[in-house]
Amino acid sequence: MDLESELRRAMAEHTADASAPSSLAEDVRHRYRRRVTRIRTTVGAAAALAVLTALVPTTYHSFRADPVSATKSPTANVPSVLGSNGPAQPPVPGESRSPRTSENPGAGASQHTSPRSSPGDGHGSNAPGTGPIPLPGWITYLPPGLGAAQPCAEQGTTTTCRWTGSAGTVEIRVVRSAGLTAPEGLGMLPAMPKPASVRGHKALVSEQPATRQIAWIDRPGVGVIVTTAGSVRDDLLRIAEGVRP
Amino acid sequence: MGRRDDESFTEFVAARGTALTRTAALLCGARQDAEDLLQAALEKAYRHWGRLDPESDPEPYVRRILVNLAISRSRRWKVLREIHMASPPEVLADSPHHAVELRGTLMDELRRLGSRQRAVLVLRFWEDLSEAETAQALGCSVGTVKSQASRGLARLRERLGTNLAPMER
Repeated sequence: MDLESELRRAMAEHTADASAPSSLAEDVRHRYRRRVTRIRTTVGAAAALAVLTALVPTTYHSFRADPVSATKSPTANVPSVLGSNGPAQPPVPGESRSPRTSENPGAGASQHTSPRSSPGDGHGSNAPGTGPIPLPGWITYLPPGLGAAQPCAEQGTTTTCRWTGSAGTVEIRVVRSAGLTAPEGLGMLPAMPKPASVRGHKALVSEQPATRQIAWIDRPGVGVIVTTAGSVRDDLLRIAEGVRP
Repeated sequence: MGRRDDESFTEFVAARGTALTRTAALLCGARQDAEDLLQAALEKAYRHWGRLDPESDPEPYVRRILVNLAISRSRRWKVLREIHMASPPEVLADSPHHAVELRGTLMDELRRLGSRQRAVLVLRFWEDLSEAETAQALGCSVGTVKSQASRGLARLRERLGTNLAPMER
């Protein structure tokens, strides 16, 4: 006996009792219909996902604070970083705030309308029981991915605002003191500062491994220190340019 | 040119279903997988059934789908198949059941072949297709069919020892 013949016999014996079920054709049709249904469901789910994906960035951007360009804001109800006699008030959510008192906004003033759109994702984090904390009107730019856990804090003549998030941390401190005439007087991080400029004002930049800081005198008696950490470090100058106390 | 209707599919399956089931059982090496393999192949054929020429035999088309599906599935499940493959029974030359045992061993060794070699042997020696028809079913050249058949048989012969006569050419 040769191998080929034995192979034929072996295959015949192996399959002798194999037969197709009588329902095979109908089983195949059923399988086909299941496949079509599965494809339609998958396509429908993919279409819904595509719609959601398109909507998410739109919704996200609607919550972002506007960078530099903004509309005029009233100066009433300023929180009082400068010259207020009473205790300084944190900015009320929904109202545009500037740390000035009676001065006109002038060049470089805060340009936000009041009420601003809720900072939402980038610029407000919800304190328990409250809504998102809006960006103060005198800050015109903050990188995305940051939120404030609480409103700006007023301590004596200093207003401190802080935002944190996955992108890092930004702290902006406005100091009022009649004796402030140069950024060196603002008490920066212990590092060799380098000269810089913020809207034409002489500034000093200090670089540490984890943080970057810039300080300048915005006008006599009003100093600003901006400190950044994390990936937003690279936005230090842009953030500083957007601070209009 | 006319188109095949749905009723012709039912007729084809009724006429050739059993033969295709047996081919599927030999191709995939495990009878329990054969029914699913055949259903999957027929479902693929069914998607395009209406476009087939009503005057031509649809079986080569279905067989080609079946073979390719068996090969691709076999490659995917190769590892599991090797784990679960039972070792062949010991063949005793002087056993009165020698021929039966030999054929059982042949089937075991056939299952151990690569999916493509197995497909060539099944199409050539079970379906009795010519080398050209086998090449068409596999989507390869006639030369490949010849070499795969030769290697497959050589491997079977090697694994079965010297109990078999040389293949007649």
